[in-house]
Amino acid sequence: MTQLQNEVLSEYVKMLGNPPLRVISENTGINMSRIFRLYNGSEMSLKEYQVFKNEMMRIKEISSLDDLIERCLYKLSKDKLSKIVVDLERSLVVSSVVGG
Amino acid sequence: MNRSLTLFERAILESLVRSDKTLDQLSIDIDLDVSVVERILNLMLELNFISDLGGVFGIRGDNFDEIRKVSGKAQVIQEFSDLLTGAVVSHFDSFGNDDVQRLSVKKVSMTSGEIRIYNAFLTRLEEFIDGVEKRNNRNSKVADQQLVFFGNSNYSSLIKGSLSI
Repeated sequence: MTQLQNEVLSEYVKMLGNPPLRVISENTGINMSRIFRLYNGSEMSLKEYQVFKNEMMRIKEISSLDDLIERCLYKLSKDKLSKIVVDLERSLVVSSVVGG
Repeated sequence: MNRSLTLFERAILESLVRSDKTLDQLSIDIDLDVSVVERILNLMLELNFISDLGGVFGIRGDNFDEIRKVSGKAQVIQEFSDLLTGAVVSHFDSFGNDDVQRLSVKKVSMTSGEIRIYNAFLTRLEEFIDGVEKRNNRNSKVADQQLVFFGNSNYSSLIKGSLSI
């Protein structure tokens, strides 16, 4: 677990550009003192490992979505972009109704 | 409001156009869980489309202009797309169930004679549907209505339309 743990922790920090412990704690939901101990060699539980992996997956999805949005803004017409905005707004409405 | 209404918001309006209703009555009429209907109603109250008079919901008579805005051409196109998309998804989801919903799309080349025959069938179908609509039983639930799609499109114009960016 230790090598995997080190890989995950350093990759996570790299992805977020050296965030403060407070931010890591907020993002992962893991107590700040526990985060401190993990970064200082305390062994990670499987559950904590999964939390970090999921969080990294989420960041990757957001960043690929960011790239896609940027390309759309550059390439697509105003009309097409308005339609995308409407679609996204409607998706948020659906999400607020079903609690997603 | 920039966005067009979702199908469930339209269903609520459709139900309230028929008569004012309580939360439970709306839940039965549009066949959605009470908690979901409650959240939809909150959204519509925020939009000032409906009023809540002691637990009885109705369309706000002083806000027809706003309601008319969400019934413009772009919004009608959006609603049409929502219905078609919903029907396609529902059709494929219902495969293997007894309650298969029929939806059929065929790509065919027709001669002018065949187009005439097709148009005649279409006219008869439209007359039948219009007749059903006129006899429409307003006591039936909004959710129990059948969505009937018919018509045709020129493949070339759809291909060209798909190139719009």
